[in-house]
Amino acid sequence: MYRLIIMLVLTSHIAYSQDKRLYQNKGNKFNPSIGVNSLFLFKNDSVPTTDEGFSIQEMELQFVSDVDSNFMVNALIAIRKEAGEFIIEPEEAFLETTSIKDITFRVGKFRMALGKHNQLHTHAYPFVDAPLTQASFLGDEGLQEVGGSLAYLVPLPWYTEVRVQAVQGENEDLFNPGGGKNTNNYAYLGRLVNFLEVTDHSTLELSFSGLTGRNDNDPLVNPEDTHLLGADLTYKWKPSKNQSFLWSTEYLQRQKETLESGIFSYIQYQIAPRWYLGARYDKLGITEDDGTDISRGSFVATFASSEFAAIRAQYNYVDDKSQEINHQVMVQFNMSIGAHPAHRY
Amino acid sequence: MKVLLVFLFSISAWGKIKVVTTTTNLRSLVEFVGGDQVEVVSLAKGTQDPHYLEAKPSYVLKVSKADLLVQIGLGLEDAWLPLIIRGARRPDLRPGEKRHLFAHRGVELLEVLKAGEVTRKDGDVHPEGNPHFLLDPVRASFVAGEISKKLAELDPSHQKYYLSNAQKFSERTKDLASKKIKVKKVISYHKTLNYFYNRFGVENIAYLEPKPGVPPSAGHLIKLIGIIKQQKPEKVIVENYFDPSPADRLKKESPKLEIRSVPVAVDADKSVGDILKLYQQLIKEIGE
Repeated sequence: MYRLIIMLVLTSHIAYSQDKRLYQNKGNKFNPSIGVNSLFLFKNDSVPTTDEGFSIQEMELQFVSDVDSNFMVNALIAIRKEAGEFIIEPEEAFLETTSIKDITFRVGKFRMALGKHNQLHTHAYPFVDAPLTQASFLGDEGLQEVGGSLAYLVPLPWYTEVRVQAVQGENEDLFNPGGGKNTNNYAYLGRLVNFLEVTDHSTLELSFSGLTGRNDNDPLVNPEDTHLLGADLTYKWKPSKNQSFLWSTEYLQRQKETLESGIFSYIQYQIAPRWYLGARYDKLGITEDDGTDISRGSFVATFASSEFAAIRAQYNYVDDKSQEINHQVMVQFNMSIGAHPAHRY
Repeated sequence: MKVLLVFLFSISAWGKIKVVTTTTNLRSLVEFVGGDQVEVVSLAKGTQDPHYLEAKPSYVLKVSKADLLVQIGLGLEDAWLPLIIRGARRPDLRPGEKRHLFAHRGVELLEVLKAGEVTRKDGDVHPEGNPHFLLDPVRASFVAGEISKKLAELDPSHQKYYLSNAQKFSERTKDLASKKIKVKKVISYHKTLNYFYNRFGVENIAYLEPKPGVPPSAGHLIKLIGIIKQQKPEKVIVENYFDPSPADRLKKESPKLEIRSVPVAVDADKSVGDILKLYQQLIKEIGE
């Protein structure tokens, strides 16, 4: 919270010192596009948990604008409850170059390109909750770090993009269990995206990601590296705006002290202009035979009254190898007001 | 073999201006004006509603190789095109740059709303104006003129060729625009054909959509049945990328009503390979 206030003070000072700009920016004409996404949630578990009942799952305030002819800035401020208290934090805040050919540079805090799901904002998740593997390996909010990123569109007959990212490794689940700043620990990521148009109405994406970074588990005695490897495959079919089908699978493995791995696969079928059905299978701990693996089956029905409003009902069957199966039921209201930038494919 | 074909193909395209348009109607205009000096692809197919495209990476690939990008504007492509331009990493194709053209610039628009007159509760509205202006042949000939100027700017050696092509196109649209339409009162699915109706003196008394972008509800159809009894429209016009079944339900109630599913974009069905054929088809389907 303090950091945010300091940030605001600093940025207002910069704006103030540039009086020329100040004149140009008077009035609303040059305001950034502003949007608010609100996620309201009701949850019920058959095995009692602490997060049952009504809650604000998350609110996201999003600001997007060109800065000048060379840069754009995208800031997404998330408000959510953590340990019983509302916290405000920049989920993403980065600048991107807009005037360089073939390459996009990005600097700031961003969702890292580790698989497809990790790059989604909470309101764009295909299900109410995140996949087990992602939440367990990368943390509840996913992997967002501060650093730089380069994306290059490879001039080939099909779509191929290479992404390279270098960040400060601060994520508690991967690099820095104590929290706080870890000054000399950088993490590096590479992602290769391949995208094929199978027919006029269907596409196939096959991508690979790898990430490596020093972790601080026992820095004095034995500094070690965390390695992550992932692959994702997505098939989309959309013959018209009233009908569509999607099948997506992501595999992720993490080497940190031990080797762990997990996978999820889901389908989503649009049955009518405003109705979607989805089913997902999750497995965390594919190779574990000591009974620590978790599997989960989920079903979701979505009514999207427009592109800005969706109501979802989801059922989860969770088998974590303890005595009881947990049956979860969730209802989510997913509302967007104001400007809403286009979603990635 | 495949490599060789690609190679030969790229030689044949040598020297041509590569144009990417967002809709097939724009593509057809650029083809009329650019003739054999251009190679045009449209991102939306004729069977797709351009409001609802997704930012597919294959579009990024097409745009990344373009010499010129032509879009309608007025918010029609806002849900997907900005990501495509950014993804293509082609700063010279951004709105306002030399290799980008907004087709709506200078067009006399209908249904322009002032800020504050409209909110999202009114559905999928375009406050800057109805974006379907190319369905009026006269406005389309104005846009063809703008395209010829832009092509001449990018390729001054063929300036005369582009301007005379635009002139020829304009003459052919004049013939079409002078045609008379007998049908006077219709109901439509969406606000797609308003410029066409405006040109040919057709009155559209109601829409099948309760609000733009909102699918017809049972309650709204009952209201429409009342309107039909009172005002006696001759036809219900359904743009062929929409579901015709709500119109069929109206026909059950008033059997005299004629239902026509019409193409509103080039390539929306086999018979409409260019925009002039599209106008002829619309005049026939709506007018007779």
